[in-house]
Amino acid sequence: MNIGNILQRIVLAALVVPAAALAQYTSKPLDPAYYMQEPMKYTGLLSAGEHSCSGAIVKDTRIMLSASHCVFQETRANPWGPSPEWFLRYASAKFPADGQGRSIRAYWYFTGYADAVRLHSMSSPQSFNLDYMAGYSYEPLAEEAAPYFLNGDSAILQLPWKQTVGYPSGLYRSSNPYRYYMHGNGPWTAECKTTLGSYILCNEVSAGPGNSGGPVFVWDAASSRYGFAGVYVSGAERSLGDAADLSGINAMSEDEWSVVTSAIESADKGLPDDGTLNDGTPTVPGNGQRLSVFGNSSLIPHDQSAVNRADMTDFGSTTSSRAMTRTFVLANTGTSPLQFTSDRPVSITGRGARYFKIRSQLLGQLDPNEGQYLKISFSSTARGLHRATVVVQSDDPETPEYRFAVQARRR
Amino acid sequence: MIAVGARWITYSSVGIAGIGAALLWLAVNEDAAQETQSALEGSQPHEQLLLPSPSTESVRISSCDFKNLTRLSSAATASEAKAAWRVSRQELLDYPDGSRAVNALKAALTSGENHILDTSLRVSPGGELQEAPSTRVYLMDLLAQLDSKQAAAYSRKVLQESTNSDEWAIALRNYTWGVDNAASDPFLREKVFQLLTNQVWVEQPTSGFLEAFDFVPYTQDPALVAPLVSLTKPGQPESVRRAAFLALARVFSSNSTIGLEGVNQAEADEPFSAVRADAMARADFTRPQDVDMVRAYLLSSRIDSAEFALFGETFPQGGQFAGPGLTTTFKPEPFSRLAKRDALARSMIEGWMQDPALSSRRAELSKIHERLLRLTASAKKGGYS
Repeated sequence: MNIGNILQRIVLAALVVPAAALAQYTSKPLDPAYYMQEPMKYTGLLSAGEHSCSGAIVKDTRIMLSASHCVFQETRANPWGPSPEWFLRYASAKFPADGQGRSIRAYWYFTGYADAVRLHSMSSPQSFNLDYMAGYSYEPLAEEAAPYFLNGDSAILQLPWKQTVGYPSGLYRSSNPYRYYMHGNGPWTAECKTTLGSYILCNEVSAGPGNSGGPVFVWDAASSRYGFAGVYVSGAERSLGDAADLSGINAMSEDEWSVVTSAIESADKGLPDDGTLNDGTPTVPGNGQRLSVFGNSSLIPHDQSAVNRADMTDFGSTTSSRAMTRTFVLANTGTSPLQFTSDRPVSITGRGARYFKIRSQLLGQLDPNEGQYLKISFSSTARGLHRATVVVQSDDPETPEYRFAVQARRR
Repeated sequence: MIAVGARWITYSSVGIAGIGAALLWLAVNEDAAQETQSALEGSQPHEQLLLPSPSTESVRISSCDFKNLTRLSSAATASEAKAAWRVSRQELLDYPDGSRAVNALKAALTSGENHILDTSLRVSPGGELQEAPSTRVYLMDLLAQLDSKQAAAYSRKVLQESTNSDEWAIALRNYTWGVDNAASDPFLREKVFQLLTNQVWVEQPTSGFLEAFDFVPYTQDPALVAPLVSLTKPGQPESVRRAAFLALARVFSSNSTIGLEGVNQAEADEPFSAVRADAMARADFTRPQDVDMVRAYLLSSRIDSAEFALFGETFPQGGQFAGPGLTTTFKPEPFSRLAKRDALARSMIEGWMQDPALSSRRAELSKIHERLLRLTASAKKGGYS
């Protein structure tokens, strides 16, 4: 199969509704003339010292998503990798020269202490389930960012057509002219299954070493676009002597997106003064309305029972009976208008409910990326620690009663 | 250049009756509760307060009031326990008489009943548990949500008596929730030191043990840096090494000076130290102490050139872990501040490149300088300078 045939398939896939006849399951090199097509145009090579991986620009032109094992290497004496560099749509027989790419200033490895290698090896489903990272640059890393699915696992498991892109340079000898060309496969419809959490395995689809962090795009019929759904993290390739072709994908979940988004906002933008969330985020339609609550720019997850000062759910302490007020932001981070479902959509319950008062009720609806302030005050003459639960009722299908704990101490 | 990076691997792939009885006769003793609070603040003994007291005035409460708590205490499987834990929380929070709810929990804890579950101690943002390795850990978590003072008092007892590292992890968290200024509390710091140096736990690390490394960045105690550094050494279990590296990264990001000084002292006799190279690569040149430490580091004749090469590859290190901690929260450094740091570092490195005393380090300095030139140019394009 020559490169021209592959190109034609990939380009057709990007321009028209995918068809089964075009299916291609093995990663092949693409002609650079077509790199500007969707979804290839968001993809690039990530150089991290001795290693190369793949990545994509998603959500914001300064955010690069890849696999965390590309920059946190368990084989190194110091597992934190050297400064990574980004090469958008790279095409060469040779590894890119040091210093010629765009600098990734900060990168974040989203894991807990026990999850860093867990009690298992790094090459385990438990570790792959957490294997994603976000890199951030001072300047744009691409002309535009790829649209994305808030729940990548649902997209991969439920929607039929996928395309995957990346740089599987480990398939080649050093002299091969296509070694550092962007590769692609798809659209494919192979069966995918969840192994653990958001770690998904797809049979009969393969890329190769170096494709780690490469984006997995899923066709969204409603918008007629490919949306980013996750990154390659593992796999097997017959041509390398494995018994079967296999792709391991870490799908980006809504929770993971929340962490990325709040991290970026904390570092960069913060919430604008009017309380709205309008950062021009391109999202793939079809995710519905979604209520999110923020305190001090940090996401307060639904059902959060542990209070903390950072998101203001811990009001702190006071020695007087004068009211302490904290302001939260309720935002619609979905793609459809969100309605509050009662005349008094916010209520306070729990043992300390009588000490907390709602100072501003919510009205009407929130359009996508829009927010409203919610002011809650605490006052008490009774000394001690007082806790209560804030409940917000809306038509968010997943959290019709969004709950989070608040706490304050009267000394 | 070898192009790899993917991990390209194929995959084949105590009894219910006891709790009920305890719930039937719960001591509701407000004086005792008061004593617990004052004992915490005044560091008096208070262990006896944790036990149901048959001699005090008692109130009969039907175990039906807390049926989900009974379900949790007796849960035999992880899924049963998790489900019961979730509904118990609201049941207890909504119970009209808070002190009875607290005493019900304490009775369940002191009954001795515990079931080991096949789940790990997993943390959500804010130190909240996602799941726990035993029913007792779930109960301790609930107690902290209900009454952080009494949970702290109970945790103190656990930290003095228990040999279970998962219970220690949740007890340390509860203690920080219920005690004012816990980060500088000598008892907490001593217990974190004991945890880090418990050889049995190091050799058989539980998830709770690893999550408890978060108390080093929480306390910012310089005395805890050395034991943490020792856990990054080859020969330690991999999970322990990685968790220790992550904890150190969070120490550096929250207070670079304590981290740098601590690592410098801990590694003073080492000719090659990866963790020292990492610490120096995270130096914040807006702090004069950091500038002095990095300069002294580069001038050191006892350090192996391989370590300087590692430093040269990674300065300024931008990798952080953004995961949830039992007590600390990931706070990314504002990019405007990062840009300021980069600009200051560039100017400092340019000066050092002309410094004859640092001529032996010119290769590393040139490499860093090239990187800083790119970063400062990038910051300018992005509007950060």
